[in-house]
Amino acid sequence: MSNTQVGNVYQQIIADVVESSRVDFEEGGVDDNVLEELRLGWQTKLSGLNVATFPWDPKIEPPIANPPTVPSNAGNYHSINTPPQNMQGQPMQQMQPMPSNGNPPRIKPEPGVDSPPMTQPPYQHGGLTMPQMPMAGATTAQQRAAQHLQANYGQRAAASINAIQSAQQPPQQPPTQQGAPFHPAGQAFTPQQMQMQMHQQQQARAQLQTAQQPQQMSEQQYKSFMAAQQAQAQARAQAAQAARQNAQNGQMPQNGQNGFNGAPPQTDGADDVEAETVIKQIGSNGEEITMGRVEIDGLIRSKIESMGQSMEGGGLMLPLSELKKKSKSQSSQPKRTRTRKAKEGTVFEGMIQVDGGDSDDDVKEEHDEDAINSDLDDPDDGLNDEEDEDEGMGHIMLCMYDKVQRVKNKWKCVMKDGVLTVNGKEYVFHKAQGEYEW
Amino acid sequence: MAANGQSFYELYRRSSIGMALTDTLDDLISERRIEPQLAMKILANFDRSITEVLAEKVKARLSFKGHLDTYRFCDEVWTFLIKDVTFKMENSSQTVQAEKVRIVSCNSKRPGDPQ
Repeated sequence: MSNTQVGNVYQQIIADVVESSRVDFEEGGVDDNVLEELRLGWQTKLSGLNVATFPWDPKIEPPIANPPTVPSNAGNYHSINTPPQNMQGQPMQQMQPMPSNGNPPRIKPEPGVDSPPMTQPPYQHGGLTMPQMPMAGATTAQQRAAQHLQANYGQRAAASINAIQSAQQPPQQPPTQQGAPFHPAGQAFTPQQMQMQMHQQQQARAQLQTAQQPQQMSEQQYKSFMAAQQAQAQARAQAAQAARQNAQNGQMPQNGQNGFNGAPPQTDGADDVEAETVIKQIGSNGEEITMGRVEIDGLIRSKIESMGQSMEGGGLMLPLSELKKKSKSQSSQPKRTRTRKAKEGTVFEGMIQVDGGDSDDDVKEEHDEDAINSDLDDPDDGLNDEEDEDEGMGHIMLCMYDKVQRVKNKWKCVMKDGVLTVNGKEYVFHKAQGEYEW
Repeated sequence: MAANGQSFYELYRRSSIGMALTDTLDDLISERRIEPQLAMKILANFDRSITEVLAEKVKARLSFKGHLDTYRFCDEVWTFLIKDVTFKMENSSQTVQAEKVRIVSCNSKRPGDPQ
């Protein structure tokens, strides 16, 4: 019996199981890749248990924990397996930027959006799908927008058209940021909506002038917000404008100062989230209370502090379980949603419960319901007790017995074909002799 | 479980290799990559495979001594809990000590087997 044999034996088992399961996979109509994935996952998990050295492990210990896509892992043994994995992984990674690039086409008619200096790679990406979008098409888009305006509004649009021309050096509020708010609003680029947008832009501009906002940037962001809130009554939106501009200004300086450099991070949608958060703040409060980022941060901090307090039972140093019992009267479902909302920073109610607490509570309740309260049902005596704690990586020998003999309190056993896990190491044996007294 | 009309113990599913397999299968099922039925088939394959490989490929022997704490014989399965156990590997002076070890052991001669 030796620990070194285990690796080879297990490798053989894995190969055998994979081979014999291939038919079952085919019958089940499951792709071969999944089988390979199963093999890799199996090996990785086994390596993670660290019970022995396996042939597929790299020589150095740490990489064992790494996913099987790591080249060093693959080169050793199942190098065939890695390509499919990589193939699967890469398209996914490439796919992710795509959706955000997919947005720009939707908003291409937005006059203010056309920012000629947009040269980030992602946009070249986007340019593939929508040639008008890149800088080259910026002017044409502007022209088209202007024409459109003129056609629809005639004289009244003159101001807007002028604005389009003057917005030629727009700040680097990139399309994506605008794109995303449009996206959730479900805006496709249709003429009617275009008109709506234009209309709102006019209003926005007027507002901006009256408010004398020095920063041009807010204009664009503003429009995006306007569009996102299209469903809302316009009067209401106008009432919120001043407040919202404040919030935007809170955001602006960052973007503005970063200028070009600030743009790339936004392509991954980070700013969208920010923008959404602000919007959510407005929406959930019903009132047009706009919360700047600083305010939101403050709110979240207070939530976390209250959570921390709740963990120690509101300063009474009560165990969590007791505290939970007290608050059991509340049904767990609403509690959970409240917690979730609180995480978003939209709810102001006091936080009593930590997130994990409720599920524990549920489990306990289930236990209570199921209990027959008989001693026989009590799993906490004898073997079962240790069985539970040994779960996973216990000291256990799994085998078959040939012979089990007892004379008085002396036992003699002959075991065979066993797997022994002891002290975190695994051994396999063909035969084992055991002698022990009771 | 009837591969070639013969069935195999599921006991080895509790070993590290069996746990690793069930974990992986669980993951695949929860990702809806495979059906639970397929997972059952794979586990059955595993039962057969590990039984065969252990029987055919492994030649190592060992002996162990200790104090029997608990024994149980139920449904043809012996369960021992042995304390202060010492394992001696054959072909090497290597010994392994453990505070306790649980032995779960099925009958090598299955009632239905032609042995």
